[in-house]
Amino acid sequence: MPPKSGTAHGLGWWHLQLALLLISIVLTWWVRTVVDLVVLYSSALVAFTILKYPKLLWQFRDVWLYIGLAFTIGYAWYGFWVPIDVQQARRVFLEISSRIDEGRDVESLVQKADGTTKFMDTTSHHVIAEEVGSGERRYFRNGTLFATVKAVYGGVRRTEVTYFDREKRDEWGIAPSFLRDTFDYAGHPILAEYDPQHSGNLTPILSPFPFVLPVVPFGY
Amino acid sequence: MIGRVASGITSWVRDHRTGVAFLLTHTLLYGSALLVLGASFLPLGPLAIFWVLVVTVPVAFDLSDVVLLWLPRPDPLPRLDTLSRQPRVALLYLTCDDYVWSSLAAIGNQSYEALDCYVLDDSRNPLPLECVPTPAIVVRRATRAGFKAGNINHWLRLYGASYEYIVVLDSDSELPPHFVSDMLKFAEHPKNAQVANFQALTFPSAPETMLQRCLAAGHSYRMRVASALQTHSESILSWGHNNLIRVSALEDVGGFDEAYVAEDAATTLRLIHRGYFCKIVEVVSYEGIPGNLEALASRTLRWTRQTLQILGANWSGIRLCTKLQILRPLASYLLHPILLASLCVAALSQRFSNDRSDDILQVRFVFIQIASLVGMPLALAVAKWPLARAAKTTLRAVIVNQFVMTSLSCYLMVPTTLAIVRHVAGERFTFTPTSKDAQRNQGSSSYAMLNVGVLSGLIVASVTLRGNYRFSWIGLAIIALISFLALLHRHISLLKRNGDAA
Repeated sequence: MPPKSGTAHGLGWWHLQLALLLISIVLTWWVRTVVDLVVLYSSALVAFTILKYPKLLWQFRDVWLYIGLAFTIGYAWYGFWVPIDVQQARRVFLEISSRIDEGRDVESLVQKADGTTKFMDTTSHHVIAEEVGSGERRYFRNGTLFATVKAVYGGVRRTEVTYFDREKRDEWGIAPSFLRDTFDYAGHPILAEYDPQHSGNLTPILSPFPFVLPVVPFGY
Repeated sequence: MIGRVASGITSWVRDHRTGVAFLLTHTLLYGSALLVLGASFLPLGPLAIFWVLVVTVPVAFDLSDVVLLWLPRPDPLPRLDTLSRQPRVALLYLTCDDYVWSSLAAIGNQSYEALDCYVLDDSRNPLPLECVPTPAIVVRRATRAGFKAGNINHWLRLYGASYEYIVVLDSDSELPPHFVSDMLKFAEHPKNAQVANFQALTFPSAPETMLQRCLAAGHSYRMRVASALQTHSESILSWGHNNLIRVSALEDVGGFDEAYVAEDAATTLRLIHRGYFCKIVEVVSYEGIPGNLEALASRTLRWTRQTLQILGANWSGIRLCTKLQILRPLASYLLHPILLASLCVAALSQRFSNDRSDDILQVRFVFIQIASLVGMPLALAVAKWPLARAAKTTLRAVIVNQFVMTSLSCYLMVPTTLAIVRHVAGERFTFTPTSKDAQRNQGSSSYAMLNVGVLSGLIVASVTLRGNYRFSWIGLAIIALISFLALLHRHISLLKRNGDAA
């Protein structure tokens, strides 16, 4: 017969893993970002590994020290060259959003219990935008999704503007030719063709804290 | 005060030079990879950053060898010019239904006189006596308890007291005629009294198949690098064969450790705890390498599980440089489940996307994965070129070897992940010898089908979650059928194997 699998010890581990994965999937379904699945599950896995193998972890502490140092220094080095600051990113996000608003008189009202904010044009009373949490704003023109502005923090370092209607985009003259603009945390376009008139007022600010840990995706 | 601190830092760095080399290499590699990728493919998603972080660990382990070669190395192990006495040596040829005729026939070719040859036969079907060379004595036992370690311990109880040294050979080991006398010149040197295990360099025997030729280049390269770098380590972990072992040291630690399938590493740990060492010596020997994909795959899966198993041994007090020798392969093995998990995440992430802009991020992530699978072997091969030249290996051979190893990693992604999960879940792990028959090529289809099943399943799941249900359900049915057939095939093979074992 094939080898029997599972001891009482191992079965417990199986149950834990299954429970962890299920919890992570349910939470991910709820928060709806795949990054959170990775972060949730790997954090839980690390936590339970520490609980299950304390002796092993202790005996290899010098190795973990080196690996941890290598991860941190490598990440910090990358972070040093691309300064990141959540407040700065939020400012860029709002500033880019305001360009799409084009100075119209906009009022906002919370319509949903989940915190989604709807923005209405006070003249036409049309919903022109909705904001999900504080990290993403969706813009509508004549009832159809026109563009999204999304600030993604924690290692990604960008504010993205995605245009879903190329003709409208050209008509509004917001972006030169690309389907998507990406701005770094200082507000500089870094993916789309650069149109200087759209970044005139943004001043780069170097963050005193040049890097963040990978858990920051939870932060917005 | 400053001088003392500086001296303390210097000695700490000397002790931890392997770790420091890894630290430097990983930092440079990870930071550079992010900068290069960031400049080319911005914005990098968190998944891509995590992927680069993980992939660079085993690569940094590899490349830290280059850093270590630049650092000053202690003197190699001293050796005698001539032997002043002739200690008694036993040459042990171990087999378990896997004897190789050419290797077995060659065990009596040693020029050293005070030598006795033993064939420790654990085979289900006893070795035909006409195959055994004349001077050799065949030793069989009633059970196969403890596998290879148990077999040697059984011999030690019967004959160990009569010998000062043993030479352990696997069934595919081949030795040049002066092997034993050359090894003894190291073992008999007074300064090497605390070295219990003298490990010879093992080069591949004449390759027969295309796969063996591809693997041989990497094998020779690794031997040369291990030989050059071993003086950085207080003790290496024994490779389990083609070595000369001091019997008194073995008896001091109670023989080979039968609790672990990796009895070589477990016994080395015991020896280190008793103040002995294991060292590589510049003596050439040969061994067979798997001739087909199935043999290579089953050996890799066994190594994966025995590496995980040996982590449970007593590692307290073991130096960092020795610990890293087990964590290097572990990092490579753990890459398989991480690669599979990242593919799952990329496939399933469509369901969890906030909007279509996330699609572009995932495409970039998959692109970076593919680029790393192609780029890493190439970059590694080029980076290792100076070392390869020292090992008298051509750049082309190293590149081919790197690509073969990367392909094998992808091929074994699903089986290795399952092996790791089964081990962590507590499944009993027993020793299975690697097939030595180069021409045999059966059974690999189950691994291939498993890969096809899982990867196609991921593609179908991804398509399904994007809304194209009509094709997806048909696809899922086909995938389920393939997976079922693969599992059935595997189950029948296991039943047959265990039936034979019984």
